[in-house]
Amino acid sequence: MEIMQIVGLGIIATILIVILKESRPEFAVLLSIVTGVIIFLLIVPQLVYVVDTISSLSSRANVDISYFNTIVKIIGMAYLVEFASQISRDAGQDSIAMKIELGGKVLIMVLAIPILLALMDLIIKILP
Amino acid sequence: MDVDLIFKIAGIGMVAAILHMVLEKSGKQEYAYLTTLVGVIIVLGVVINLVSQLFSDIKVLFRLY
Amino acid sequence: MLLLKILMLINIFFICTILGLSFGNRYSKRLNGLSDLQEVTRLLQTDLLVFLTPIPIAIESIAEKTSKGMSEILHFISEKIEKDESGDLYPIFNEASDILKEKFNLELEDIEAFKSLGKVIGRTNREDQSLQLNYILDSLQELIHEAKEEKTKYEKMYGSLGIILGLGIVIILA
Repeated sequence: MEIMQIVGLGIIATILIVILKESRPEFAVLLSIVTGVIIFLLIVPQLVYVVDTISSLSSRANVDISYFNTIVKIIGMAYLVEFASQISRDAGQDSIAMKIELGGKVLIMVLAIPILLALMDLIIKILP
Repeated sequence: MDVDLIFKIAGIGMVAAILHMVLEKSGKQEYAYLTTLVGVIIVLGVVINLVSQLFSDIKVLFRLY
Repeated sequence: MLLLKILMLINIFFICTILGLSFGNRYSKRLNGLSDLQEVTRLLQTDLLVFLTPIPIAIESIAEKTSKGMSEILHFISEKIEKDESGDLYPIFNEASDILKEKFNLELEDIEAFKSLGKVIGRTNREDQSLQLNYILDSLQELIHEAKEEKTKYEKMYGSLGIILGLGIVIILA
């Protein structure tokens, strides 16, 4: 049961971080990073299964493979940006968290531009 | 797997906290900060390895090349 | 394999603890040495100034009364005095101070007090000797006070430092 592992890990890590936060805040930050990474590594196998399923679904529905790749990339980047900005926010550095989010948004936008262009082409084609 | 890493890091943190307390009480502030720094660096070395593993996993999983 | 690892970790922990304790022990060693030195000086003062005993005999008789480490040094000094005919005690005390330093982990100031003992006795008349001996006793008292303060401050710290560092190494290696 993966869920038991993840929940137990989260609770134990929370208790340890609360203990450490008063005396050594820097260790609390490191501990929260490690907890996040380990929980993610625990769910990676399941995530692989999900992505593979969606990929096969999209190929069955005859969606262009490059569009699907773009969407998966955007999901990954969103996850990474969220991870980093949450850590910064936990450590009390809200401004850094904002900048990380800004960078993530801009890069996602760049990734999304080809889809946007394709949409434009479609609209222009449909227009008389 | 590496779940015990959490306990290891928490243990190092607590040891560093106690060390800091003991050294500060006997008037050796400079060593107290030094020990904290060393502890943070040791833990950082472990954490960076783990984070790089995370990044490579995400790269493969979400096809971010 | 696991058993060996656990055994080694326990070993490391105990070695660190023992190292810390012995490091802290140096301070109580110094305190012991200083109080022994004070006792010897006091006995020497009474023997030389009140009973007017000759120096080698006085030193020999004090050596019987004091603690083991101190009496060894006093025996060494009295032997040297018997061999040496020049009547100058300072070089002999100088030589003995090296042994003293190793045995009791004394600081430079403490050694100076011991050496000045060699300078004083057997040189001038009674009044001057009593003045000088009183001065040495005063400075020894001050040094003992200082050593006591250092002991309360650092002995416990080194003990807990050893335990904590051992624990830290074990946690890192585990």
